[in-house]
Amino acid sequence: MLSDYFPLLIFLAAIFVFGLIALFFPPWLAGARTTTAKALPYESGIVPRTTARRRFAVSFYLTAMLFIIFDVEAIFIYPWAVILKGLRWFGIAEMAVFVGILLIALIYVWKKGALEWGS
Amino acid sequence: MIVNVNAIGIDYTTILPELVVTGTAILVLILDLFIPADRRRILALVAILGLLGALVASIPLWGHNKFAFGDTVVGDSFAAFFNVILALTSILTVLISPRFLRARQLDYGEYYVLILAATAGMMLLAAATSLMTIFLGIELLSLALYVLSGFARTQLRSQESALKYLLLGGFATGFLLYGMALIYGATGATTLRGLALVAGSPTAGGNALLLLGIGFLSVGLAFKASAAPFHMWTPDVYEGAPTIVTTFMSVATKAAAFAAVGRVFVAVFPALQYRWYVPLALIAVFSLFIGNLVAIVQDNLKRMLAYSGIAHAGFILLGVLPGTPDGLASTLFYIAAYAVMNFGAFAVVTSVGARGEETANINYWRGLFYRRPFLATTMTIFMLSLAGIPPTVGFFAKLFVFRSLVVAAQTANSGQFWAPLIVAIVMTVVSFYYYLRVVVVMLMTPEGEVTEREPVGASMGTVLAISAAATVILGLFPGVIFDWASTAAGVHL
Repeated sequence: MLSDYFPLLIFLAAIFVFGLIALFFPPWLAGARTTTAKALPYESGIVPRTTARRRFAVSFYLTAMLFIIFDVEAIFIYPWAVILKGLRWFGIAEMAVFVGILLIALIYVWKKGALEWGS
Repeated sequence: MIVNVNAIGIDYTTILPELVVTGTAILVLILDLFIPADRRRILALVAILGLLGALVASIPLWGHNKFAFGDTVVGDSFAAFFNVILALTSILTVLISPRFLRARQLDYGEYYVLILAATAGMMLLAAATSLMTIFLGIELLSLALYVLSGFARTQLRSQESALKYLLLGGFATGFLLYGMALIYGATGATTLRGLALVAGSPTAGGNALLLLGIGFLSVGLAFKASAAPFHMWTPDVYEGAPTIVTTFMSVATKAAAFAAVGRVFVAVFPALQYRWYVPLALIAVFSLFIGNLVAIVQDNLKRMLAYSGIAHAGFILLGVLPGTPDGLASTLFYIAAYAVMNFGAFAVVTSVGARGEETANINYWRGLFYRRPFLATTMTIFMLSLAGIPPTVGFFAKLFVFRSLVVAAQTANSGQFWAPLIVAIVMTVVSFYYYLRVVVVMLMTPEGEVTEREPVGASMGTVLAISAAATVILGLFPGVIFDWASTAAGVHL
């Protein structure tokens, strides 16, 4: 049974070896030439103006967290929608409870002012 | 495709206590939005009513063995026993909360929501009969407690405590989940019923994957129960968290974690007892050694009680070691006794330290008998009980655990049970030092002038009186609770 995984082991080894080759072979063959353009985060993108490590509004965190909550809700709803016909009214009721609780959460964050931006 | 919903075994009465607590949490969350800030006492009242409702809803579960929701939860005496302990602990916590929270300017409604959510998770853990529901219960209680330990959010110590608990707790959960995955991989079952079938087969003892999974599972559970060597978070978190939260979590989390330990090891894997005995015995012995020896040098009462909690985790675990319902009964009795006495001890610390955090230092307690005789008297009762001196309940808790080990040693006719027993007895003697030290310090003549007597408050006074009375009365009549524990310990799958 364990031998079934042997191709996987070869594959892992191949990945490792390829990575090493890609990393060390070209510089050895062609030599390393660093230029300012190459050292930029995005070689062909917009030239960075300031450092990315600076303070930004805490509201972003709140928004991100709220996004996760409602994103997870959506993830639950997709598989539910697939078997909704089979679940019938039971499925509707269960999802109503779930969405209802999330609705309460939405009212809560709204009332607490988490959706106010910049105030 | 029609899904046969009836085949799942939907039975809301088995999880009615959890549903009531969850519903109350949601209700409190909504109420908090619409009532003015100076009337937050209503939230405490609603929370208490909800918990009382859960308490009442737990009683019909007694004596039944109703599996529901595809064998993932069960309504039995074991769950009812823990539901009662957990609901009572939460009720007492909420009773003494408003005054403490107002004094610290922490009077937010979310506090009650989180306490209720944690309680719901703990109740679910006590009723869980599937790896999935065990995980769900542990996560629910942990997430609430992470936030609660950081509830004094402007205080650095509280933040530190929350972050430590979150990081280490997340790590422990990783172990737990990995263990569950390995167990599932080895057996192909996630319900405890399915696992018990596989574990009962003669080849199970040689299944390395299964044994490894059980090992990882016990790491995760021992972390939640703060048993050594997975206890490192306990002193820091207990010290940094608001004392009222420590009061709640030191008692309730340990009870819930041992509910899962008891169900998993005694009900599911009794056939593998010869395999898990040594690791679990080592955890118990480590906890006894580290808890008791390090508690001696603690000058901060919260830290001292944290190490004492580690030591008691060792004592509680001793009852699980024989892997029999009789042993589990002594564990259940110990948990009930520990809940009463440790809650009381932390409640006294809460009451003394209602103004500032420095009061947890033992120097502050010098001469407490002369300043605040009621607090000092109740604290003495709790300390005597934690040390295990009759006629308090702590004495019988230790006695029953020791007796279960002796009985196990005689019936199994093997010497393996003597080693943890001897360690436990020696460590009990060691523990006298640091428990009685608190009593001695409280009796010392105060250094300065006797300051004005602060009132304890009606709710705190009642809670302390109830806990102290329960500690003594259960010590005089331990039979009732022990009968209940024996019934609850007869877990069937």
